Amino acid sequence: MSCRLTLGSKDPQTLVLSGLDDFLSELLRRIPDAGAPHPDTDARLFPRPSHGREPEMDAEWAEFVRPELEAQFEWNRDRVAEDLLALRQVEGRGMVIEIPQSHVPAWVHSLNQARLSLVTRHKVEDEALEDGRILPGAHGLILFQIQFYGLVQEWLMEAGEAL
Amino acid sequence: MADYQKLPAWIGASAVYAPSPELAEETKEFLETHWSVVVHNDPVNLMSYVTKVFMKILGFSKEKAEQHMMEVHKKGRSIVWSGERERAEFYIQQLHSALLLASLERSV
Repeated sequence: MSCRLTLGSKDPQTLVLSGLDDFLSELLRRIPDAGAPHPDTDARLFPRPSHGREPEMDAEWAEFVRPELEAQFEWNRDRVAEDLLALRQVEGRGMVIEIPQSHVPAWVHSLNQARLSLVTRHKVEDEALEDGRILPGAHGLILFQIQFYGLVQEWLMEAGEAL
Repeated sequence: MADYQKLPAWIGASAVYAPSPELAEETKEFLETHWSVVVHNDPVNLMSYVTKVFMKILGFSKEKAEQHMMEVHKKGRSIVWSGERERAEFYIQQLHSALLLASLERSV
């Protein structure tokens, strides 16, 4: 089974991703959860600024900067979740989602966060990421999800406004 | 900057903070230390994404952003900015908000 995805513009303020099937639509719906806070991804999403060389600086960072980063990440995921609510079936165009240009940076960062989180949580190795092959099983599904998110991220960066 | 050691004696001691010469020297040395913003390789972040983040946050041209991105990719790290601590911390926060693996290193 195959489908043809298209990214176009509805108007100067709105991008439209169409041609999605149910499977790819479901993967998009999972973006916010995939990047949500998780103990396994904590060190990667919130690295210490001095990597432990300046304990005082790292401690201050955790107290004052980390909450701001958490709020920023949550805001990004909320914008994506908001747009996903309007994902709908359109006759002859498959599942369609509209993304306001103003939300494109939130999408790009959320897709990046989801990819990083999936790689960390599922211990995906560098070689598997670079290989690009479609593999069977649960691990293959995770790899496909990461690659699909990367593809959409690239498209949005090309078509959307600057980050 | 005021020289608190030379303030008139009638000013109450409780109203004046006069750091010891040692502390003043340590503070001066701390502020004058240069800090480097280092970006480390991460196989997950897309090369095009890293380039765009460098352009947006550090104000690099596309060419310069790509040079640093390739340095990160090939050598594992790249110093993208050096200078005073406050600004370096600002850049680190921005880079972390884009989920780039960045750290601050003292470079006296």
